Amino acid sequence: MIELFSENFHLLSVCFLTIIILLFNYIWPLIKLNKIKKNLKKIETT
Amino acid sequence: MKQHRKNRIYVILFVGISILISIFLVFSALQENINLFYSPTDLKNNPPVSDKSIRAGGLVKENSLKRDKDSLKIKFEITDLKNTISVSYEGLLPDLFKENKGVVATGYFYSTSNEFIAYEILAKHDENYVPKEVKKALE
Amino acid sequence: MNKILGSITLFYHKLGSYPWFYSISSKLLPISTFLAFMIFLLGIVWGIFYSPSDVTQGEIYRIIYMHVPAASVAQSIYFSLAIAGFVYLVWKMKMAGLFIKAMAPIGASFTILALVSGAIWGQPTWGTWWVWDARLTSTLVLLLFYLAIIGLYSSFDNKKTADQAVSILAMVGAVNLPIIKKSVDWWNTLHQPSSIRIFEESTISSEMLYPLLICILSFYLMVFVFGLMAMRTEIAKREMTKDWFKKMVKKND
Repeated sequence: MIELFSENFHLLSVCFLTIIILLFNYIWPLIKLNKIKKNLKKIETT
Repeated sequence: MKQHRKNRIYVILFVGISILISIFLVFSALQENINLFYSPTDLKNNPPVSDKSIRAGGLVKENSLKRDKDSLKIKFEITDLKNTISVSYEGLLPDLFKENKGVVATGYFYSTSNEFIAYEILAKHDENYVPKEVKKALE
Repeated sequence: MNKILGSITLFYHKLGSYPWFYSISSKLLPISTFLAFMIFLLGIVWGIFYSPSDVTQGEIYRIIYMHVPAASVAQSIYFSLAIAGFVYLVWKMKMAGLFIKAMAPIGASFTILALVSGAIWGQPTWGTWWVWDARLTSTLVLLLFYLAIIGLYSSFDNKKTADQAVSILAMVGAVNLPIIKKSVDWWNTLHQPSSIRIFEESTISSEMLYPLLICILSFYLMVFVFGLMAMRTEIAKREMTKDWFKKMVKKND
């Protein structure tokens, strides 16, 4: 497994990029939604 | 469906179709320039007049590849199975450059001697993916 | 017949309602996220560790398990944007405008993945990371259309005008899709024709095809998940002052 990647820097970098893109698409809307929710709760309590 | 919605669909269809037609016209006018490379037959029928660099592409002809012993100079022939041009090149080659495989060469074509002096070689791979074991079994 | 038509109309009206979508999507998300993740894991592990290596390209061809799914969803997302644009322009469905706004960045990110993974693949195999051939250029144009939609949307203060403008742009850009698809057949390109064929035998051996198809499926599932999430966030942005939304937040939904 290590051999597969050490010989294939290209393959490894594409895997890395894919994971970054997927994580970005997953986390970005979550952060924004939570921000809106938090703000709402703050306004409600004050 | 309400009339104003129908009208909107008609307008969209009309605009869409006119855009399609205009794009089609643009592309048929550009046809020549969209092609990445010329085939040997193209070069034979319409030799480029200017001394600008062009791209030629096709298959590397079998048994045509000659490597220089002391340098990175190589000679080979590009064929489209109808016509052939001979190419000379000096430099590193991409991994997939092989006889009987696709190639695109950038450089200058001299139609009088049917010679192509390339300064860049790109390998073109085909759409076939075959496991190594299967290939061995077939041979 | 009338019954079926009626239920379709009902579904359409429900789909257009922000509260309905917000609550149904929160129920759909856990299961679809789980499914998408598991299928992605299956496809990628199968593709990278258990599928045979290619006879001409060796190990590097495994980039296909990310490159092709990314390119596929990038084009399909744009197709869905064009349909949404049509729906918005004809029926003025708010949700269709919101859909374009939410999906455009996702489509752009997958187009970037397709372009960059293709460049990383092309560099050692072709000998160059970029050529201006028809396939690569038309895919770059796809990215530009996505960016134009994102930019155009943010240049309007009024959401209605913004939705209308991006709907038109989304539809105009759809002419690029058949060009991308057919570029490798119509013109001489460095990019090879597609290996997965629908009406004839694929030119990729089945041991490599199956994990590839699983990867493609998983990318579509992930786009579904990302789409739901982005649309929920966009709904929240537009409706945060509304009572129904405040109630949902209170219920921790």
